[in-house]
Amino acid sequence: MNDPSNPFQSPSNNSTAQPRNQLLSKVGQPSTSSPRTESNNRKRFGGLFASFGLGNGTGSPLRPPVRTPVRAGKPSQVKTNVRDEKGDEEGEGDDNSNVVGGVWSFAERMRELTLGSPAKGKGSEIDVDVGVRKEGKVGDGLMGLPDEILLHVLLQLPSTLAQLHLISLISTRFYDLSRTPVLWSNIFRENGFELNEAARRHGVAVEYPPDGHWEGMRWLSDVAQEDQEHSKHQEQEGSLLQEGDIPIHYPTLIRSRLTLQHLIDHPDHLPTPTVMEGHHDVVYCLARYRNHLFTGSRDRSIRLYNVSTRKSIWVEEAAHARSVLCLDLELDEYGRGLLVSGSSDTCIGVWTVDLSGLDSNSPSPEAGKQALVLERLTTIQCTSSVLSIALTPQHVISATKDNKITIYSKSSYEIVRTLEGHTQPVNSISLSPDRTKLVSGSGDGTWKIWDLSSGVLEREGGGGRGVACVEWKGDHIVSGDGDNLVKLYSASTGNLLHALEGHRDLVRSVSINHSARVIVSASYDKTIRMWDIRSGKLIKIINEDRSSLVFDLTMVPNKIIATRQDGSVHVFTFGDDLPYTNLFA
Amino acid sequence: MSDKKQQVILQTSDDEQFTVEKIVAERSAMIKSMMEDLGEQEGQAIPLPNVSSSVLTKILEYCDHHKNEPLPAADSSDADDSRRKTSEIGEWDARWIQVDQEMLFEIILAANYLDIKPLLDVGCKTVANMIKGKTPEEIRKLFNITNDFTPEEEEQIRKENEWAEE
Repeated sequence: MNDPSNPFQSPSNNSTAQPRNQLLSKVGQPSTSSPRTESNNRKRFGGLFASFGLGNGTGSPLRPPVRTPVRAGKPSQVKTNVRDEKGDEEGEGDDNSNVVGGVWSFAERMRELTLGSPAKGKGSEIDVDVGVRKEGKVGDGLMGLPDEILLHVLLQLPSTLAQLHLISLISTRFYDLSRTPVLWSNIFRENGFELNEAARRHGVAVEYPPDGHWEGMRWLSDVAQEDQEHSKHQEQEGSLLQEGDIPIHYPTLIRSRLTLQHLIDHPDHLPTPTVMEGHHDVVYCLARYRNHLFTGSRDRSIRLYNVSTRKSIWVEEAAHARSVLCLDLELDEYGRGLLVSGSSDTCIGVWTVDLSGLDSNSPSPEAGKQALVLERLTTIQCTSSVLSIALTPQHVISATKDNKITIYSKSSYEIVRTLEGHTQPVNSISLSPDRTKLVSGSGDGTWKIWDLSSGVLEREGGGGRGVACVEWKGDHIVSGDGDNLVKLYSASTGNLLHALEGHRDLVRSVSINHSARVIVSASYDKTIRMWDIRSGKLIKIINEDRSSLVFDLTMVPNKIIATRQDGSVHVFTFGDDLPYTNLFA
Repeated sequence: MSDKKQQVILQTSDDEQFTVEKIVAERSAMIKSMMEDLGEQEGQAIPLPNVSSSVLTKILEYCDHHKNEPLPAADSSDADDSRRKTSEIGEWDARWIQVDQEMLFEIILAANYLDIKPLLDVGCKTVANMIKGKTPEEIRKLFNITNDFTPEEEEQIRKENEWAEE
């Protein structure tokens, strides 16, 4: 797997580690006189992470400010290491590092003195440092600036790969600086890409890629098992990683994400379909939580799948007396919370969910049963078939065949309010991102936006034959209708942005993924189409077989999950072998 | 404290003393916290052993011009680079920072040492503007940087980068 001509690749064991270490130390040589060992590198970059918010508690895209005090204390520890390391280099007569160490340790020491904290470091050498700085710096120009300031300069440049590549070719010092995670995470964000909640919460920037290497658009992993990969990271990054951290090598992350986007955007690239079996009849609806997928079927059951293993790991047979038409989930970060299901038996099932005990490799429904994944909490009797359902922190909201939207209290399950106005069945509802508003799509051809706290109808749109499905994401509302159209609206203005033409029958389900920049839609014409959200152009039809109707679908950047009339659930995967795809939102 | 014309004495590395208005000196978060910690000591000069008189003269111009603006929040996050990127260099600042490279870098180092965040931003943005749109060779020439790659390393980096440049 190792390509000897590529010293940048990650070594899989000690014997092949040689080429990269040689280069690293060579690259490191000019800016410091000590060899650039892995641990030196780590300290050095650790310091940069600490200074610029990556790996500390504030302002980092990876680290929302909700960390434990232990975590918050760590960066300063790292910083100290950096300073000490630079201090060591002073003795070796390198003017440059003298400047760096001098200025920074001096500034920090001054602050320590004035703040009255115990003096650390090399106080007595301050005057010497200053002297050296004054002589050594003149003429050093840009290269006389410490890394922290040079990085600050680089942060002012456009966050593009092309710019960063130019920077990396200036000199070895700039190459090193160009590896700084914050520069890469900015590129990631500037591209509109997002990490999912788990990655944002637990992601930690590391300087080593996972074990494997690129071959064009493919990533060849050297390690079969995820665990091994993780422990390798742990070992490399030493004490910087803690239990539960998700190590992220940003250059690899970006390449993976850009490659994935290329595959998504390429009209000729079709995702790999895989099948998840279990239901015996039409699968009407789905609700996803990370790697887990709940589905509801005409066979009256609710199933839980592990999307990674493609296995059905739980089934609640006879969840309803008739078809399960709709589902919604509200789970916390441990996978605990509520599932609600709506059925043509005119009931809402309310279920407690606990996925926290589920190993991702849970072998069978039996093993899942013991963990009590799903337990009926209560049943709400409605007046008609429940066509669509939604959960907010306070409410359960149903859309029914008798043209009504009903808001139930989550504590008493009593009716809080009924939203009336549609003149045909309300086929689909979707919450605003802040969950204070709701959009409803009806067979009467309109969609309406309601304020949930007041019940006021705020806006409506549409026109044409019945609206079969709506989804609200960000400032976009997308609908599918009986005119065979997918329509994209601005939620704030109600303006129609695009009417996507191409389906040859009613559009049954739509889903937006902003970071992938696409809308996917499924129609009674049996195609799943993928559209460019900005241009409104069809990118491709992803299911060549067109063998079954699709009733519900959802998209994460590397996967489209579709529930089908034939009882199966299809998972279409883009770039199955790419690293970090489980971190993308 | 209520006296608006309070004065502070700053002493540079070449032992020159500058008497400046307190609100001007307080643009420097470092000086400000120093004054707060030391309290009012009449006639006591604050030593700035990392700043020469020529650089301090220049920086005091900047501080004087901006003295009535709100100070950035203490400890404002370094990672908040979106703020920096979107805000362009102001007209006055742009004219003020038209200096030779040597002075530019001295200003940046001093702004960092004195902890004047907006000035550090202006300085770094100015350097970034000099880098923008240039090839590595042009950047090396402009800033007198030695290309210390071996040909093999340079080739490796190009290879490492080429996937994205199709």
